[in-house]
Amino acid sequence: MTLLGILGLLSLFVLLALRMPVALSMLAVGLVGTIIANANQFLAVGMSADQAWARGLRIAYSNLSGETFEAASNFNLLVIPMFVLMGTLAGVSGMSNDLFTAAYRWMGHMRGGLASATIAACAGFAALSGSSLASAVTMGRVALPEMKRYNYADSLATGSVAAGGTLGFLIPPSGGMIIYAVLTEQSIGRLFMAGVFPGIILTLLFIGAIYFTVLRKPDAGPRGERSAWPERKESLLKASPILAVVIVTIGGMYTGFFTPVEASSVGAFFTFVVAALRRSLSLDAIRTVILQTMNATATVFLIIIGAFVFIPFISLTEVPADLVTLLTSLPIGEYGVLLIIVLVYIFLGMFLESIAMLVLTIPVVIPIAIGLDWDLIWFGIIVVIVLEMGMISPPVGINVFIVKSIAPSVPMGTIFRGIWPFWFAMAFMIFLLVLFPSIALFLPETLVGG
Amino acid sequence: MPKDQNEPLRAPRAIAVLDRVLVWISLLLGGATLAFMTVFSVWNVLIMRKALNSPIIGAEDLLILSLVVIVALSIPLGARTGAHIEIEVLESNMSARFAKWSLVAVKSMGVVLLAIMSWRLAHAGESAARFGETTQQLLISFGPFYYFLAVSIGIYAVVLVLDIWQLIRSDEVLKLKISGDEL
Repeated sequence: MTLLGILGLLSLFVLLALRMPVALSMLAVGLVGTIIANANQFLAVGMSADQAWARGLRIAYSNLSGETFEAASNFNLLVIPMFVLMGTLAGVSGMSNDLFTAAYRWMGHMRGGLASATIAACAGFAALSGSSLASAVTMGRVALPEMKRYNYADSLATGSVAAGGTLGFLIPPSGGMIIYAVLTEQSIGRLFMAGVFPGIILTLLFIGAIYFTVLRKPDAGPRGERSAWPERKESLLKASPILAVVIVTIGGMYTGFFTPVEASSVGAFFTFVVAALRRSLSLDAIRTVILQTMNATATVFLIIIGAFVFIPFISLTEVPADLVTLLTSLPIGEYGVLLIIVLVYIFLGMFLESIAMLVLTIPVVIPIAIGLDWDLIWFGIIVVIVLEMGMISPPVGINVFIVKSIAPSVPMGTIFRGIWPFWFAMAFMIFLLVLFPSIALFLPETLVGG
Repeated sequence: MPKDQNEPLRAPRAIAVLDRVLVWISLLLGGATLAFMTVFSVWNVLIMRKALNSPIIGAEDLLILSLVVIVALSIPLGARTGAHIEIEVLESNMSARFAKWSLVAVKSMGVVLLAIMSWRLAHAGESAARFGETTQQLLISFGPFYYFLAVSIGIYAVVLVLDIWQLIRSDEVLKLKISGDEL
């Protein structure tokens, strides 16, 4: 069975390398693997070959249709189209401009203030969108021209947008967290709560990284104009509807007033109302919102369907159990195992897209986490942050490519040079989480209980 | 008259028709489903449950079925827009010939896989109708929704066939762009 599991994983990597979509690769390997694994089990108990293979085929077929319907009709997954809808509505309605202006008015006069304002606005937008790409694209379009106007170094300007965008993956409502929660059978609400303090601390660490960059090279982030108090108050007032939506939805969820599913619908509804009041919902904008929402829904759901078929196959093989035995027998302790996992994720993050990496690694990594008795909520936050690192890691950091598409004149090398301070800030955040797990666990344990 | 070098490549007619149909279906049915999910859920939560303490019976059933509908509508659209994630890291290291024919091979495998999946979903739909597989409160049969998913996956298979046709014909697959292009 272990050999079958290893062959399954190898086949998966071959199909992925040949550019078969991740979801179809998992479906193909999951289907064929389930047939073989079940047939082998029946053969092992003395069943005739014909019957064993026929039964294996029947089970695999039943899994294929059953798991597909199970994923498509999973009530908890209703949060995906709803939060995506909320994010795309916020994106097309220009709310990001108000967020950036507010952050700029308050922080723009500081050295590197525009870059810090970008990070703060990204964090605010992340609380609406749940998508790192949406955060990077939306804030990049607003912030990069401003930073160019104030002669910011290209590396700092593009690096702050690329890194700020990754906050969309950590700050709730996060698409990555939803997928992790569903695949590991954890509570989406608890995971969202666990992401709040790490999200805030990482935002501050990013701002700290900007501070150190401009301390070393003051020309990289010159001061902007100091805004008068009335201007600051006015900008805050303009951004208040967005903050109100965040407070109502996310706050409602944390106080137990809404479940995550309810919060997602309420959030989408209020974002629609705010966008309509801003008169930003033209027919073209509505068309974009619907198609982008469905596009993102397609990405996530097909990959979840693939994972739902693939995971039972990997569980049937003994690969996860063998890996747990191997890693726990090494004389490196729990922290050593965690370090290995983080390093493997960092390595994979150089080549794989974050959601793909998440669903591909979960069947193998989660049994290890369970075997070592780690809290899966805490571990989920660590995984999400490592996946964020992958989004800005060379050579295929997706957020870097997004920023490049907005700032085509900036060489890739310059953008990658600019992301390192933020990359190390994320590494430091993981270190903090290992040292103080309460950063993640305090809120869910206090609000919901242990 | 020679063709303008900067003129964007146009998709073949069959694909252009498919794109138009997919986009319109997505906008009309997808838009209506998203609107229903949002408004109905908010109505149920804020008005009926929180304000009037009288939640709508079977609301969860309707939302679950709406989710199946939106997923079924999204998958073929995503197939045309390139939403289904592929890992393209090694592509730059492949010869053009290998890149083309390996892609034809994996897409052909995809067609077979999706055809099987569509067939099994249709079969499961038949079983669901026969064995009374329904939602919990309103007892709505899952049968039609299995069929809907079967059709959706079937269209994805058709999209892959058209991709293969494009690849063999012109060495590249033109995807549907969803922002800023006219209907």
